[in-house]
Amino acid sequence: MQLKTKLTNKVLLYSLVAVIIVSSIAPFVWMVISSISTDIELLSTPPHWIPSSPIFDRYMALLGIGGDRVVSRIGPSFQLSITAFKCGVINSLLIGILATIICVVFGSLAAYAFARLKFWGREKLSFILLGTRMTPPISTVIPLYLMIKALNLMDTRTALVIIYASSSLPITIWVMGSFFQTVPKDIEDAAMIDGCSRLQALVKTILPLSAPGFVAATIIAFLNSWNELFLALIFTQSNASKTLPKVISEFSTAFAGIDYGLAMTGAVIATVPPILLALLGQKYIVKGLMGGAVKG
Amino acid sequence: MKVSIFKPRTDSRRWYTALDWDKVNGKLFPYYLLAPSLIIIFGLTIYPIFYSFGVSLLNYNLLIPGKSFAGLGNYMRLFMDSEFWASLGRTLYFAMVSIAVQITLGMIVALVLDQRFVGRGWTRAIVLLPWGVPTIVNGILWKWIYQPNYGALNGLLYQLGFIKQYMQWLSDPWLAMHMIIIADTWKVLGFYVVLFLASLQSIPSDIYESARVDGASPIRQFIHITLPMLRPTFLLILVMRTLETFRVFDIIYALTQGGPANGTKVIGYMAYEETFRFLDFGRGAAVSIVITLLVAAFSLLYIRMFFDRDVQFS
Repeated sequence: MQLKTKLTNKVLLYSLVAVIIVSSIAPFVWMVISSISTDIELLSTPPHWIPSSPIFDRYMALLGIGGDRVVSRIGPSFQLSITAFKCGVINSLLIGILATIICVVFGSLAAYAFARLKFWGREKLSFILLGTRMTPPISTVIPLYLMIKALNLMDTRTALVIIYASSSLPITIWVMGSFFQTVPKDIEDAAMIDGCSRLQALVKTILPLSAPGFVAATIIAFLNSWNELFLALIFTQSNASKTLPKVISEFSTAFAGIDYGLAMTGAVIATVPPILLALLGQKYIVKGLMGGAVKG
Repeated sequence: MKVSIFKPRTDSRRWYTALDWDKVNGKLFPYYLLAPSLIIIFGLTIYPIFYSFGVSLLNYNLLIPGKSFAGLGNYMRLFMDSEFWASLGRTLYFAMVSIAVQITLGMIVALVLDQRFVGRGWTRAIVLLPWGVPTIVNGILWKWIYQPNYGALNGLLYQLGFIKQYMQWLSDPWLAMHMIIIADTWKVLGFYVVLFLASLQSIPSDIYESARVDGASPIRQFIHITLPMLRPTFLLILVMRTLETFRVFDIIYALTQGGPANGTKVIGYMAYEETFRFLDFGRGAAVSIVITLLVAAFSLLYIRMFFDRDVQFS
């Protein structure tokens, strides 16, 4: 009797786990399948769940492998979207990396001040920091638009780098600050007794010890800009600055009709970096984003 | 301790030798560190919020030349507009339904993943995967899944016999709202599961043991131990989710663009449309100020709840 309930419990548990895994992965799988299905298969009713002759032309075209032959096989009308996509990858990488560097460099200095030093206005400033972290982009976008326009930075990467850096900075400071606090103060004191200045102590003891915080902050800041669409819609127009999310959004709205095959291919490519980063830094990111709110 | 990053050369003939520069620098050191960040945050977040308020007091439409002072005119017109209240209502509805669904599902999944089974670590990683997907990718992916003629959802439900004919998932305002919530839930659920898991694991196991010794059934243990212990996590998700609803944009942009019949136009999307589609900056700014105030109110609640006591930088 006992054995039997134990067995049914096991079966129940594993089937629940199976349901959870399948529903987490199924949309991904469908995204990949759609990206390698032929147009005929994509437009069949009922859907062809498993492509009979998978094609990788779209990947080759979007990643710039195989040249014009591949593009002409997909259809010359997609030439514009393909070019836009390639520019989007480069823009997104450049903007993401630059914004992240600004965030992490400036953010770590500020985080150190908040985590370690006593100064006038500290409480108020950390409160303001939290407040700005919650501010949605819509609250600031109109003045930013007017400022960027006045500075003649419309449709430039520079505009997005500045804006993304400012929007990720509060959370970067917050995440790194909470990691800095976990480094014992004695180590830093010891370094200073041995003749390090405070700045040297920061660079030589705290930074290496709070490496997880850096990983978390870097990933969060990069993903914020890699995934951002709203501001990109407003501040970019041409291939000179369009980011990947904007290009992908155009796959479904602007260009010659909707080609879901190409859209899904773009989607897969855009998803690979964040998924990899999320997997690599999972532990740290979650810890960082929770900000100590739930102790685990 | 000596701090000297901006220490001037000592020159006995100059006035500043009277100052103890080490001491001054020591006092100012924190501000040196903070300066770059504060300049960026004040210049690009805080100042624009006030600037936004200024714009909201203007008659300022890019389609009509010139601008003039409007006082609270934009706000008055906004509060008289039923579409504004409707979009606020939709935002609230979106928040409530998604919170209810995501808390319930998140907790169930977390409870399952808290059990012992083969491949538990992998499963936890897999559950968090959708959270890494860019929101616009999530939007376009679900647009394809919901596609009425060739979409996977129709195909699957039809083949399994759940529906007799293909459905138009995004053509009915009410249905579209719920389809968006489903798509959104798929993306964010993993994060809540991880939050729940973390707090489940922080419950000391001896509480369960003594409850078991006292003869409490698993269900009673759940009601009297697990649920109360998860309370902080519930509150956290409640506030986080509410705050996030004001940011929801990408998925609506990709799936419905606020339609059909404005059925999915939440307040954030309304602010975007008023400003960048109808180019009425004054009115758009007024909507964004309303959002800012609502977010500020919820943020205060959030800060009070979680950061006042133990986690403030101290």
